[in-house]
Parts: sequence; C-alpha cells; structure tokens
Amino acid sequence: MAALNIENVWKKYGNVIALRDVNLDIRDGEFVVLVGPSGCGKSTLLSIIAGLEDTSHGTLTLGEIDVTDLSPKDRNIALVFQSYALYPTMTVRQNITFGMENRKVPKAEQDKAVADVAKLLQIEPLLDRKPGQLSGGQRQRVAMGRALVRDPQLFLFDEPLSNLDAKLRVEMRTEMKKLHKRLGQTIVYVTHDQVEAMTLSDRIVVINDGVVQQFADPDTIYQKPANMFVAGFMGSPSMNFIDVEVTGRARAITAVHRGDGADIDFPFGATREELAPYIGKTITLGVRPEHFRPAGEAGLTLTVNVDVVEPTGPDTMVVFSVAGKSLVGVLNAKFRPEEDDDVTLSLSLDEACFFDTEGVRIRGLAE
Amino acid sequence: MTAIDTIPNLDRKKPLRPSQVVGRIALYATLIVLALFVLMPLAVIILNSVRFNDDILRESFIGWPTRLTLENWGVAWGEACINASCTGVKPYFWASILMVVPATVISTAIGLINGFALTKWKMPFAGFIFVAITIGVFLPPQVVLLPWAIALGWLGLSKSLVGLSLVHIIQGTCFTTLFCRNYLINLPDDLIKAARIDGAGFFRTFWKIVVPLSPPIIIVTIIWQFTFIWNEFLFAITFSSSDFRPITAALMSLNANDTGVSEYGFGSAAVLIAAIPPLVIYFLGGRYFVRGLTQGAVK
Amino acid sequence: MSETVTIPSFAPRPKSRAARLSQLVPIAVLLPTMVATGIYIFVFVLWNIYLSVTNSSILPVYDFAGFDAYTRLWRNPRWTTGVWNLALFGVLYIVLSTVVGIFLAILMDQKVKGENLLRSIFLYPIAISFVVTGTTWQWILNPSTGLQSFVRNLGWESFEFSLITDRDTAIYAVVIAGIWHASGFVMVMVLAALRGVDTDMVKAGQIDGASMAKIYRRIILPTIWPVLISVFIILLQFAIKTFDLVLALTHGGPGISTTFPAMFVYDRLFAAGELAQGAAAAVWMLIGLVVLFLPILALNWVIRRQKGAVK
Repeated sequence: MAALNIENVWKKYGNVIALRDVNLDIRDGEFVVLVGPSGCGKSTLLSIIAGLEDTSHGTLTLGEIDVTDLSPKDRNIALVFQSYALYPTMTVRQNITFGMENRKVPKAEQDKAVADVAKLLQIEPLLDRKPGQLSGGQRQRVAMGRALVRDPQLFLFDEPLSNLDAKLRVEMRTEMKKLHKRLGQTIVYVTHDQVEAMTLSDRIVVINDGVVQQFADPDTIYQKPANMFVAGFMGSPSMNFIDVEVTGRARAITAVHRGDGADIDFPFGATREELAPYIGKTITLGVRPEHFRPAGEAGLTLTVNVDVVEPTGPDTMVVFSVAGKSLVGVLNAKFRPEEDDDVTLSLSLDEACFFDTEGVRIRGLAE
Repeated sequence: MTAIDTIPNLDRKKPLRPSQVVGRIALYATLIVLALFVLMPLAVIILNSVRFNDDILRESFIGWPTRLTLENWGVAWGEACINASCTGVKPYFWASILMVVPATVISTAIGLINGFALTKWKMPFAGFIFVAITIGVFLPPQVVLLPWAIALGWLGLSKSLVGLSLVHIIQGTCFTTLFCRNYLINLPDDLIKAARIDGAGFFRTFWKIVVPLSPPIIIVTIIWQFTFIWNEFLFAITFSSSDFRPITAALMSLNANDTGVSEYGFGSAAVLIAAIPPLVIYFLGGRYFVRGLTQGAVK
Repeated sequence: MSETVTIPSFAPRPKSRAARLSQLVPIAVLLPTMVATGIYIFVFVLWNIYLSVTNSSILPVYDFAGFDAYTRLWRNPRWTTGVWNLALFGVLYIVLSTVVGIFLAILMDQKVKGENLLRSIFLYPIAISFVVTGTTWQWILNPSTGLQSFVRNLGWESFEFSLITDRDTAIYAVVIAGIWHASGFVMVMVLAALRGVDTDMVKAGQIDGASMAKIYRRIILPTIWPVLISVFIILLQFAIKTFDLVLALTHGGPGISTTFPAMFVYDRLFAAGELAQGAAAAVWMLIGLVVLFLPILALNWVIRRQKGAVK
C-alpha cells in the first residue's frame, strides 16, 4: 500500500490537450473515484497512472518512488479493465498466474496465492474454466482476482461494473466496498456513474475537459460543489439553476428571479451574508430537486403549474413551471398531482447554493 | 394467469400459395442447371481420366466411359513425357510441394507477427508501411519480373527452388501481413495492456496471448497462400528449369506437346493431379476459404 | 478553478535504456519485411522503369537511351492487339462475372435448401489454377474433340461451335473460361454482403409495400456498394494479369488473335530478347492499373466519407 502523488500532470495528443495541470494527493489506503462525462480525460489519467501512457509533463510518485518513467510492470500496480480483458485462451487459473509467471515467482508460491485469492473471491470452482464459460459477474470476479494476486501498492479500476446488469452492479458495488474495508488498499476507480462515485469513495475527483473541477469527499461534492459543472453533474435529476438578482441590503437580502410576467422572490434575510458583495448583481441560484417538498413543510411557498409527472416507485419526479421557468422536483411517492394542475410546493432554501458569473460557487462566510 | 389445458399444434407450416410453388420450382431449377454447368468441366476431366484415349478420340472429349481404366493415372504420374523427359508429373508435383509448404509456412508466420507489431504497438510510419504493403498486394508481377530475374542471378539463385520460394515469400508477405493486420486490429487493445501490466514483453505477449487467439486467421492465410502459390504460373515458368519445375509450369508443357496424337486420357489425369491439392484444401477448409474471401477483401 | 496556468513545454523525456530497448523490438520485427518490401516495391519498380529507357536487348545495359521503347511498341501489332483484347476481355469478364455473381447471390439468398453444397459447387473454380482452367476449357471448346463433336455424335450433324478456332471469336472463349472461374467468387462476396444488410431496413421496405425486386434494387444493392468495389478491384487485377489462362486455352492464337499484354511482356523479356521493350510494356501495364484504380479509390473514399457524414 502506498500514497500516490500526482503533480502538474499534463497530457497532449497531437494538438489536443487531454489533461491540464492535474494535481492530486491520494492518501495511503484511500478509495478515490474519478468521475466525469465521457471524453473528459478520466480514463487518460488512469492510463497515465498505470503507465500505459506517458505523461507530457509532470511527475507521479507512488509511495516514496518516482514512477513517472517506469513501465507498467515495474510500478507495482494492478488494473481491472472495463472489458475485464481476461485472456480468452487461458483458464481462470492461468489468467491469475500469468503475471507471476512473467515475474518468475516460484510455483509453490503461485499456487498458494491463487488459492488465497480464489477463496477470498469465492471463485474456487471456476479455476479450471475458460473465461468464455463464465457469466459476467464471474468474469468480473476473476478480473479482480488477477489484480488482487499481484498484491499491488495501488489498485486501478476502469469502470469495472459498467458491463454488469443493474442488480448485479449493486451487489458488486457493496462487495467492493466490503473488500476495501477488509484489505485497506489504495484504490483509484474510474466511473461515469455518479451513484458509484458517491457510494464507494472516500474522496471524489470530478474532471471535465481535462481539468480537475473538484477533489473532495462525497458530502462536500454534493452539498458544496466547487462550481456549476460539479453541481450539475453530480445528482440526478440535475440541480435546478435559476438566474437571480441580489437585492435588498446586508442582513435583509432577497434574491429575485425576473420571470415571464412575474418575479419570484427568494428571501434570505440575514442567513446568507456572503451575498452582500453581490447586491445589485445577477448570479445563479442552485436548488436540488429534493429541496422541493409538499406544501405545509418549512420553506418558501411557491405555486407552480405541473407539466409532467413521472412516478419512479419510491419517489415522484415532477416537472413544473413557475414564472415561465421550468424546474424539476423530486417528492415522495404519495404526492401525485394531475398534469396541468396548479399546486403549491414548499422549497427549502437552507442548502441552496449560489454561483457567480464565472460559475464558481460563492462560499459561505463560515467556510 | 389462466392455466393452459391444450397446447395448439405449433409446428404446422403455412402451405405455399400456387404462385410461390412455381417460384420455388423455377428457383431450384435455375440453381441446379447453373450448378451442373459449373461442375461440368471437372466432371468431364474426371470421367476422361478413367477412359481409354481411343474411346475419347472416337466418341468426343465429352462422354460417358464405356470401358474403365486406371492406367491413365499411372502414366500421368510416372511415365508421361514432358519436354522429352518421360517421368510423368511426379517430380513436378514434389517440386511444387517442396516450394509451397515452406513458402506458405514462412510467409504466414512473418505476416502474423508483422500484423501484431503493426496493430498493437505504436510504430513510426505505421500508415506508410500499411500503404506500401497494400501496393505490394496489387502490384502487377510483370513490373518486377525482370529485376527479380537479374537479382536472383546475382544471388546465384536463378531458376532454383530456393530462388522461387524467396520470390513467393517476399511477395506473399505483403498479402499475409495485410490479412493478419485486418484480423488482429479487431483484437481488444485491453488484452495487450493487461499483458503489459502483467509484465509480458513483445514476444511473450505474441506467443501467449496473440497466437492462441489467431487460429482462424492462421488457417485462412495458410489456405490462401497454399492455393495461390500452388496455382501460380508466371513466376513458376520464369524462375524454373528442367532441374526444378513446379507442376503448373510442367502442365503447360504437357499441354503444348504437339505430337499429333493428343493424349487426352492421361492429360486429364495429369490436370487432375495438379488440381487435387488446392481442391482438397478447398473442400476441407471451405468455411475458412469463404471467410478469408469475405474478411480479407472487405475491410 | 479559473486561475490561468502557463502551459509547460512538452519536451520528450529522456527514457531509460530498458524502455528504449523495448520500444525497438516491434520495429526490429518489422524491419526485414520493410526492407524486403521496400526493395520489392520501390527499388524493383524503379529498376524496371530504368531498364525500359535503356537499349537493353538480350542482356541489361544501363545507358540511358530515351523513351523509344515506349512508343515503338505501339507500332507492334502483338502489343496493340493485346491491349485491345485486354480491353474487350476486361469489360466483358468483369461485367458478366459481376452480373452472374449477383444473380447467383440473390438466388442463394432465398432461403435455399442445400445452400452450403451449392455454394461449394459455385465457388470451387476459384481454387483451381488458370492453367488447369485453360487446359480443360481448351479441350471442351475444341471443335474436333469437345462440345461440337459431342453434339454432332448425338445426331445433330450440322452443329457448329468453333469459337476457339476462329480468330474473330477466340477471345470469347477466354471470356467464357474467365466467367466460369470468377462468378462463384463474386457470388460469395455479394452473398456475404447481403447477409450483412440490416434486416430492419428490409422489413421497413416490406411495410412500405415495396416488392422484393424493388427492395433488392432500391434498398439492398445500393448498400452493398463497398463489396462491389472490392470485387471490381480484384477482378480488374485478375484481368490485367491475364497470362496463364490464355496461354493454356489458346496460346494467344489463332495467330496472334488472343494475345494479351502480359504475354507480350513475357515474350519480349524471355523469348525475343528485347528487355527494354518488355520492361516498357510492363510499365504501361502498371500505368493502366493505376489509371483505372485511382477513380475507384477516389469513389470509394467519397462513399466512405458520405457514410461517415451521415453517422
């Protein structure tokens, strides 16, 4: 096990800059998830950590060793591929031992390592089968086994669960979390699934356009996103963004959305003093769909016109408009308005976020 | 849900309408007539190879054997005179085997490892190499015939087994490399990356990962190289002599033997002997033969 | 995260010796092929071109002598007849093989019983050498022994089928043998492409009320263009190289009526002792191939690009 330090890493392909000045310090034993839209550079970063790609600039340090110029086999890492990349012509056992064979590990040691890993992952009955004879979940376990048997200082996962069906994915997710608790390995895990990112990670790295947007623990990412990209990317349905003008004076601030025909007032009184410098300016207010509640609960009362109702089972997702602005709310399942009804909702503003014209979140005074 | 008591007859076929019946009959009739036309030349020479030459001359080349003989095969194999040496096609058959088998194996092996290097490793000028190899496949052999003749003379290999094999290996390598490249490019890159992480180098990855995954393309390439080199004539006639002559070149001499009396009986047997090896390969590996056609050409 | 960062210079990093060595392995593996292919394709072709502008007769000489050989051969009836024959043969062979092949493929696409057997039968000629093909067809088409005498023996005494002995028609004998050899190949290629056509598209056509003939003509055939281009390129190749087939079938005769450019090249180089002229003839063949290929490659490129644009 070891800490991983990524300093000033850039990656350039031809004229395209795929990664821009990435700096991450991943602590020993930490489970870090890289998340972002496809093409954002997260897989490139993983390849660079693995040594499959060179950096254009910058250094990587694993433990105490500078690994920037080491080949993958000398880095003491293991990688689980999205496609699993099991060698189709080898048995499960041979798949697991191939790396040890290359490193000329004595046979007895290999056998013991295979036995241990097979027991841990409960794949003992599969050892003499070929990957083609395994189910998706079993292949995933074998791929994990191949990585575990190296006993690396760093585990890398490239969307390892995305080829599994929904039910199995949830099971494997729980299992991975347990495994990490038990073995305490340092893990860097790439996914585009924000639920995986939130549930698995100690800390999340959100990447967009080759730039690290935020590196923080899941709660911070969700509640205090660094900018509008992070706020919009994490959470489903996405956060609602509303243009507001900050009015009033210090200790009596109201944000006003200038809508079609009518304004919406969001009174904050003395709760958001960080907005004082923005009085008279237009900024963006962000409210999460679950901040809308049925009328009667604490919060700002809004009368809205329902456009679409989508029951999801545990919740009801409602698309509605207010003052010409279309918003999304997630309310409990019992709340079932008719489409085109005017209904009253309550909006909790306690966790609302504000973003300046650059899209950067305006920090609270206590932060 | 209600329980189902009786299962209806699910295997009943819908009867064809009269117009469909006529259509099907016309379809099969056309296909069978065309198939017979395609089979005709083969059938004719097979039949002639067991007819007496007198019967062929008297009754026409196309005809049903009235008397059977296997003598033609013996004559064609061991006694027929070609260019004044009466050895049958036997020495030429073996000469072809000696040339075709090594040339096929060597060009296939080189093609496979080339394909691996070209598709799975970052190569400088990979695009240029690919274009050059493609040109090599399409180049008319006449354009390089004279330089080959001069170069083989310099190497002391003119009109020899080694010289002709060399020509076929170099020419064939373009073809095999192209074939193998088109196959290996579809092999998942992740496998190669996984092997790199597992610490396997170029050759170990090739042996342990790529070769075990390549039997389909190896078989296709071997079938095509064998058939092509066996059937090739221009190089065979140019770079051979009475000491060493592949069977296609010898057959042409037999055919051009204008002694007045045409020996159709053993001529047919000799033609069949020359056609048998590729035909055997074709019928044994028919599936791969077709796959090679459709994969190799449509990329 | 909007603070500007200066973009560093991306100078290549010095690599360890082991890393550099491992990068050299694939290059070393490809090197023999690159050298051999380079010699074969570039050196040999240039060498041949150079010999074509010398005075080489029986032995090669290397003094520049101008482009005389290139023009002189157009006054040689063996060459001009050969070029004309190649043009006529090429067009008939390619067009008819393709038409027959597509026809066979469509028939085979009608859920035919015994498809594998029929396909094996139609395709086997491609496995047979041109020498064997030519020899066999020569025997069959020869009026004194083949089809004509067979029909006459059946009782139709006046039956006349002597394509191969008439200098005006002997070239059609070559065409027949060529089609026999190639149409199964076209059939297999087209059939594979037909099987690859998106069946939803055919279903949509059926729902739109198109007849099967119309579906083939308007929906399926236009989508298998790339295969037809591949077929065309391969048949064109075969046509230009035509040598052993004619040699075995007609030996270029009667007279020189079925001579071909490839035969001319061989004759000049190894029988007539006119190396420069043989080399020049070979260069003309290469020029012909390139001139015919370029528009096809351009067309192919355009089609592929259009497809890419649609996606």
